[in-house]
Amino acid sequence: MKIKKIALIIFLLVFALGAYFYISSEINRKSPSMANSQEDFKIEAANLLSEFEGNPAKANQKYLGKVILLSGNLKSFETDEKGFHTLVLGDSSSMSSVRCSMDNSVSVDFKALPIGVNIELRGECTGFNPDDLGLGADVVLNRSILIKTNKK
Amino acid sequence: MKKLILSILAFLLINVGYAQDKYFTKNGSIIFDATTSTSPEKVSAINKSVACVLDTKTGNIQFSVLMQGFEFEQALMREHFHENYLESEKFPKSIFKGQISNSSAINYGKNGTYDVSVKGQMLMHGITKPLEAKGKLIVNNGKISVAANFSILLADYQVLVPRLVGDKVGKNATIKVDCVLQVLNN
Repeated sequence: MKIKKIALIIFLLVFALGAYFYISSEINRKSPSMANSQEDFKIEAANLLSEFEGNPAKANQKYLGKVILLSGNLKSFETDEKGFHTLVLGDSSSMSSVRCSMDNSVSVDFKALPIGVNIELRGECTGFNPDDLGLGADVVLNRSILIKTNKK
Repeated sequence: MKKLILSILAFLLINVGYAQDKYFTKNGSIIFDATTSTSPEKVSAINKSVACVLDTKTGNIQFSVLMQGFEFEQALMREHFHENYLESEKFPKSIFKGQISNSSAINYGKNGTYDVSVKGQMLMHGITKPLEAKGKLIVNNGKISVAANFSILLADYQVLVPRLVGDKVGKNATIKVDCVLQVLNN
């Protein structure tokens, strides 16, 4: 009888400890880096943009929150006042682009990238801004990581 | 021929003048903070891809925010924010359209700091509500910084926080806007 009681106490302790570690690891779980994420889609910047421009609702349903391996030509590179970097991919003659907000925890010398170079990056699609502000239409990727530069 | 050249020049001048009235950014930031004194950790997220356009001629200002762009430190908090509270897949965008009440008192061509008041309509979580906020506008060497800090009642936008975490997530959220706008050259 005594052994049964001890076994039950040990079981409850182990269960409580397991539950505690599971809950605390869930609470403190960080979003996975795009460097270690598997992409849901692989697509060219021009094609992604045209899918959103053609049917935003359908494209939202397909791409929103999904990890995308994107390739395209670097149109511009922007750094804001807080030091956040954005790589803009697309056709330089158009105001519309795929804007990729870069993951700042990964240090890359973006200034070394020549404008027009073909690059590949992985990021999470956060949506589409149609051209209703007169700024061109944009698909936006977040937490992006530069995967490679395709040299000609 | 002379008339035609003059007309083209006049057209170009009008358009250049029009474009110079508008300022924009696509890299603005907004911080959403619903931390309370009893929150075990900060309930705070940042969106770094906010689009904003200001027409200095009319004082009209518009913000467009992709909800999925809000980043939390904790993945679980991020999942609850997007899936349960803001339903970012169903309502992917928030929009504010308003007007700077005292825009005519601002000299957009001269460096300076101005207290501004903005009044308009905000669409979030599929609900449109009137919104008024005070902020600062700084003109600095051809760029315009827009900063505001205001509070919204989440229930106004039908963002319902379950009772179980009711004391850990605020009923009000503080919204901190920070955008640096540059002139729009079309």
